Amino acid sequence: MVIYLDNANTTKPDPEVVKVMLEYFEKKYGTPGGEFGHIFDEESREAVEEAREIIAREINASPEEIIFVSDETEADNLAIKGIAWAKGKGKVLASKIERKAILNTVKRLGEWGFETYEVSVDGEGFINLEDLQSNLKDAILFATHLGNFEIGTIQDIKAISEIVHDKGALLYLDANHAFGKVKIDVKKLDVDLMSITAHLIHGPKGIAALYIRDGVKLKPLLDGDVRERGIRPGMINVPAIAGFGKAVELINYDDAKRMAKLRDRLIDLLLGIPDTKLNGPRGEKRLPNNVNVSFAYVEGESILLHCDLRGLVFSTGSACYSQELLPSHVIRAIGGSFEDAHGSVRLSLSKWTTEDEIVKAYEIIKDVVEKLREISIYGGKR
Amino acid sequence: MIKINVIGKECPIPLNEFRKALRKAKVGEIIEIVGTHELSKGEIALAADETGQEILEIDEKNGVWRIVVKKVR
Repeated sequence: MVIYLDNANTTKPDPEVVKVMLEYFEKKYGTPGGEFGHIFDEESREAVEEAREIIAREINASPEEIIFVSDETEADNLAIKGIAWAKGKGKVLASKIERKAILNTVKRLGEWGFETYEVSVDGEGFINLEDLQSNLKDAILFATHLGNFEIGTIQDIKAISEIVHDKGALLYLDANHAFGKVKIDVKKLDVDLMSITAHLIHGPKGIAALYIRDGVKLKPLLDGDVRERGIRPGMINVPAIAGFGKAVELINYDDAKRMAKLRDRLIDLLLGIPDTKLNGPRGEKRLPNNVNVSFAYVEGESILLHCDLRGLVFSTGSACYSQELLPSHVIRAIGGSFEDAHGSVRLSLSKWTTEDEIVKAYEIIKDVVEKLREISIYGGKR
Repeated sequence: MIKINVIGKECPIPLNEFRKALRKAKVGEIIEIVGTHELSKGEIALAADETGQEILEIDEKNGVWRIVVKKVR
């Protein structure tokens, strides 16, 4: 039996989600049409609109403020490029520890003549509000996250939105990793755009939602028909949207409380391994399902591969491109060394993670780290 | 026999290639991996041992190591 602790990468779909989706594959296979759609199209339209209402209600938005897109990367691109194209000029900012989809979208705008800036963070991954405030001249958008995908830091979005709005810019929030674990109210957070995805809450892959506050104007990435108000034209993924709606219905914040206890147990156990350090904060300012630690003298990928062979799966922060490893940009941005960045691993829990799995995961990791250190080129010492 | 050449590749590529081969191999099949990165040699032997495979040979000549493993489970 494999212990799956890679739920920040993707989650196992809930059986109830799969059941709902199957109905729209097997029987109700229409696609939402216009006012005069036939019965198949009407059933699909109703399913899509019902899911839109469920999602809107969950984040205290209006259904008209929800646009379905294919995933969080598309949401990032639509929000950031869409606002930039609508404004025509200005400065676009993001923090240094965003997902690559956000950082690379902002970089692309830089190539297209927009001014860009990456805001620094502190040693636990909290956005440097002074750096943000002092770099908002001519800003049109700040793109950031609610809960960090890699080290779990939960940002003070209310404080950030006040700063950003005070300078007349808009705020785009990547809430993908926090959604379903941290209660979100878009009005209280005062965000202008926000993305949430289904596959991180036991929903299907290939579907996400972009919240666009009423009155915010943005240009579409694609040109086509008027579906999704013309902001995201094209075929509607009805089964996935229906599954997304069900996954949101199944959100239970008691699961987050339980995960937080297991998270803390795992952190405490792992920090008992010598020369191990936690990346990101502890307590309520950390996503309840996120554990990220760096083990000195060993590479995260080696730990990952050995654990995988022994039935424990998780992620590292490093990115492997063309068989060359790049250290985690998040760990580097919070001041971690090159070795910290290469020795970091992310373990992420789900509502189904058990205490037995946590203890077993710790035992496997401890054994693997000890054995790898014995054969390490560092010989157990820096 | 599955043959893997990771000469010139550094950690963790050799171990990852061995892992992929181990997954693909049928029980009873032989995997031969040759490489040059010293740390990977130890890691592959460790991985083979910990997953209960049979290590048939480990040798090294002119800086090139060779590990032969039989998949037994």
